[in-house]
Amino acid sequence: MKPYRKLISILAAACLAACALAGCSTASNQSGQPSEKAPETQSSILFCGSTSLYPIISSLASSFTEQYTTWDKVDPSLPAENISVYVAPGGSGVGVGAVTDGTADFGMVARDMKDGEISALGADYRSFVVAHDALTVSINSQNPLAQVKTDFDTDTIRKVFSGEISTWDQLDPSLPTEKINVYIRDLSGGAYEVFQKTVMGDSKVSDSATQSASMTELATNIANDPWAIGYAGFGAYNKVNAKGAALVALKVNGVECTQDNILSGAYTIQRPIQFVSGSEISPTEQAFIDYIFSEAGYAAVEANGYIPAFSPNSR
Amino acid sequence: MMRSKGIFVKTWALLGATAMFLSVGALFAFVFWKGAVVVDADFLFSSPKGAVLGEEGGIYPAIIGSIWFTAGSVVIGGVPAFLIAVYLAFMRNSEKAEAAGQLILRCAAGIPSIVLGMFAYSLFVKDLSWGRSILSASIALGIMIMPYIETLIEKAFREVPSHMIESSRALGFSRMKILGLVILPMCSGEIVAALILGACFSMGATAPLIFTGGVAFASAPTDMLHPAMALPLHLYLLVSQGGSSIEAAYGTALVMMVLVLAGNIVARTLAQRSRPKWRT
Repeated sequence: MKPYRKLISILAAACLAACALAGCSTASNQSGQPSEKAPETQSSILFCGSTSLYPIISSLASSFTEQYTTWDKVDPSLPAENISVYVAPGGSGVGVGAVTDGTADFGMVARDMKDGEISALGADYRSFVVAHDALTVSINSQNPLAQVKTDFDTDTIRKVFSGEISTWDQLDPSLPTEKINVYIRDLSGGAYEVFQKTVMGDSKVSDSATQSASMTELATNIANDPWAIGYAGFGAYNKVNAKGAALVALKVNGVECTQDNILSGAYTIQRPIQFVSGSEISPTEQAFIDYIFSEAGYAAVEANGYIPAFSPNSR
Repeated sequence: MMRSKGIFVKTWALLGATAMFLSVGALFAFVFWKGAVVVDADFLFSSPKGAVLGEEGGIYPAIIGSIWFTAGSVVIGGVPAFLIAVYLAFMRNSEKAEAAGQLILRCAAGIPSIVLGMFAYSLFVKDLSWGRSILSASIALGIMIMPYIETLIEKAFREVPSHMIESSRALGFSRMKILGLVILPMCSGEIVAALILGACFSMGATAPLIFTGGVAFASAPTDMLHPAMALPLHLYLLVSQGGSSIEAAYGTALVMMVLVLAGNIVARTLAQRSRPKWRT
């Protein structure tokens, strides 16, 4: 009896110690099971990153899985395994990080890739531009400024976002001395970097600016605050305005934020929405990519309010 | 003077209790009212759909995913919690060992859940390259709920009347026998209740999932080595999408509240059922 008791007591103590090491013991128990990760034919694909792209990819993942169920129904040469496409949200930075670390197959990025990031992904780097998105400089439609003046140059916009101009009467004397409430995306969003690059330059966005976790949230914030200004994405702007004008986009340097101006490049505050890979594209991955660049993908991009960067028949 | 003080305290307590009941009642009523419109068989048993995912369709993969995450975390957190409770309540040989054990538990209980998520991401997802998986997330959740379950089980153990333990000892029972024949049968209801409460706690947590195994879209999971959807994360994403997704978000919130409420009621019933046998 005695040794038995001692054994239990040692076990319990060992467990306590193990938990002090934050559950490492349970971890190693579990990893003892035969793991079937990374089989020869890849049946699961993981996307990770930008909050601008994940609604599109996850919506396509859902309809793709529903339509085909197993890979061999997409293409008979593929394995007869269940289709698993996973989409993890994060931010453009998280997406690039995950694909560089190898914890995701594709990183979703809503901005230009930096040179350092591309070289970190190696020789097999490939990018797939799905859509274009522009950042509107939006104010609430109830703001009297919408009736008075809607054209500003980059310089004025920079001053507003950096806090140098902090009340509305400084923009137009006819307006009240209400405080300008600046809304921006959080720092992990690709939009933040795009805005910094195209508008802010070396100036810093004011510390009192309110950060939003997604573009839709940012646009909704502006729609709910009559004294707001913020860089809502073109997609989010259209989505919020679909139910009636809640936001008004300012012209930047005389150029209106329209689909044509964005595609022609005349409107400068814009970014590509893309996903990137650092490893060779497997046949199953290619099958899903083909689906993204099909008519279904085109419709999903448009439904989310972005401008498709491809025509459905060109690929 | 004393009398007026008594009335004041009574009114104060009554007001406080009423405010509490009203706010909790209002919260439930609000979520039920908003969510009941959305929740039907189709919502519960179909995948999320729509151009902006979740706008249409249901939350089936999220429900199944949450069950996997929760079950995984209860096993990973519950087993050590039980053993530690046994050790701290009956096996410890010195005051120092107990103090150290308690200190470690309190520290573990104080770790912010997002830190656990970060830890699980860098160790399991990245360094051990398990990838985003239910397993990685379950470990983060398991560590989070372990101190909570342990405290509840230890409390149940310590509430066993000491005269019963002393009587058993006087009859010559060993410590193991006392544990197996006297204490465990007495506390079984409360141990199960502790595990269920831990499960409810784990089901509501979002932060440990974000980087470790929770995803915005996945089919219903079939093993622990792949990521999955989870109710709280799905709810968070629906709310941050705003607009037309809000309705589905209330539906998701309703399903979560019903699950947690059911878990609490079951736990309470179990705990109370095992008690009267020796309390009276």
